[in-house]
Amino acid sequence: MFEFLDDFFARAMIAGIAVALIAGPFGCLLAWRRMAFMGETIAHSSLLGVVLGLMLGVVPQYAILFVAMVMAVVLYFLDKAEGLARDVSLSVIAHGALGVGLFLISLMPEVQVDLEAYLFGSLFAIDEVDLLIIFIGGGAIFTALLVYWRSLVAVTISPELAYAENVVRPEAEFIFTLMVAVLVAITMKITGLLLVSAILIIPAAAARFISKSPEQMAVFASLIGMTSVAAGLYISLLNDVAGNAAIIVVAIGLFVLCFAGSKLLFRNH
Amino acid sequence: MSDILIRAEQASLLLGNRQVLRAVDFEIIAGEIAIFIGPNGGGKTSLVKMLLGLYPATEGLIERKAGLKISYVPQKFEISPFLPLTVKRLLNFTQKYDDETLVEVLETTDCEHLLGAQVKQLSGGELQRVLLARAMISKPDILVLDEALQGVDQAGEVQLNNLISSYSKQHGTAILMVSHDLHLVMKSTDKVYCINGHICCHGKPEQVQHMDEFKDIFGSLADQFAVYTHKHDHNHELGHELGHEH
Repeated sequence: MFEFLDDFFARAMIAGIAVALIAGPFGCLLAWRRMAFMGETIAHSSLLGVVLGLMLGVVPQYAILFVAMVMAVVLYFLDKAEGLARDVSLSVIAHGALGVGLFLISLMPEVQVDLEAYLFGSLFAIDEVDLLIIFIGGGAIFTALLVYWRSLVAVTISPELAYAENVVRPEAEFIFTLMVAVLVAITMKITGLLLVSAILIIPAAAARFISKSPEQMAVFASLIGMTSVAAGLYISLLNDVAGNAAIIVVAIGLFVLCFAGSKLLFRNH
Repeated sequence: MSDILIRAEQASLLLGNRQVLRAVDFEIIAGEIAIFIGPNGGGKTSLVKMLLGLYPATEGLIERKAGLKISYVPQKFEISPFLPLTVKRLLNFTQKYDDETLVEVLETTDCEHLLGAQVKQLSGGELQRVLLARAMISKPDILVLDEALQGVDQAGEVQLNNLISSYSKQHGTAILMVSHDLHLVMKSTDKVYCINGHICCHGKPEQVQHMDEFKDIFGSLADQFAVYTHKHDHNHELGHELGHEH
């Protein structure tokens, strides 16, 4: 009954739409908190995951997921320790992980790593393992997001108020960090390292222009992301262009449309 | 400590390498109005944050009554420009209320017309009024106000100060206020704490003004303050505050 999954295009479409759905609210939370580059930082570490997977003989997707979560935990504690600005600790982690990954690869001359897939993703090579990770991992973080949403938004509005008035679930911020790691790990395959931030942040940025509340913005970001994936994939099918690039081009188009639309509406008021 | 809401015992605070507060003994009981005054950098805000648990005490003890309901108006409230947020949603920050309740509480601070406004478009004074309304809506045991009236015009300041003290009386809410403005020390303040790295002196307003530590910190300002409170020792009419010279 799942014959349609044999089709690479159907697999790409399902994976892309699922990821865009989840990326919407996460992208909003990251943008609100000025953590837009956190996704990219964790994505940098996935090369390390690929290498470790090869060294230990583990399926690379699982190794990437594991390393992403470890990096997120490191980031969480670096963030809590005073003294390092967030952009500095993000940069240290991103390039530290990338450097170690490249170092380990060069120690293993017999290993061929597809750097292009790492940088740009391999949307049309999504296999059953990827889909499984997307559905289980994505389902888990989406559920956790609904559970912790109120707490996460409260901390976003004002950490001082949220903590002083005791409305934060103590584990929420830590779990949020892990959720971002899982999201990045499942997004990597679709967009590649260079475009992870694009699918996280561009829909959220577009949604900002047309939203009046945090919840509205999260929903709009998901819708804009899913529309971008669906339209982008069809464009790539019809014109034989790179799928992830087409998705981002559509997303940017929607961004401009939302921006222009909000300006026009604003003028009419 | 049934009546004690928050208590500090020999609490010290180190931020980075800087000793911000040392050996603070403090307690606030239900329904009491306490005010922190002192120079910039003296540690008023840090003490508030330590009492609230935002900064863990480096030494000593901070105790809060179990299940204590706290409302807080922080000194700085900056919202991400990227976050769309209406006043209504801000008031529903911790708990959901129906529109009627929201309008009612906004009316007490004269900003019911702002219910649908975006928070980032409010003026400084409007934001403080909204934050004060937000703090009162949950009927807390204690209201912690760190320079809560900054940016509010003078007439509004008097009005909101009266509102705060009558709110305290009506609901038995304890108030902990930070101010650097001696004139703002209300006639209904129960205790004044002078803070400059530690609690230099404390007591009722009319006691504190005669203490040497107080005069050391505030110098000539202390004399003004003495005149001010003295005048009000004998005249507790609300209307007189409006005409008070600044």
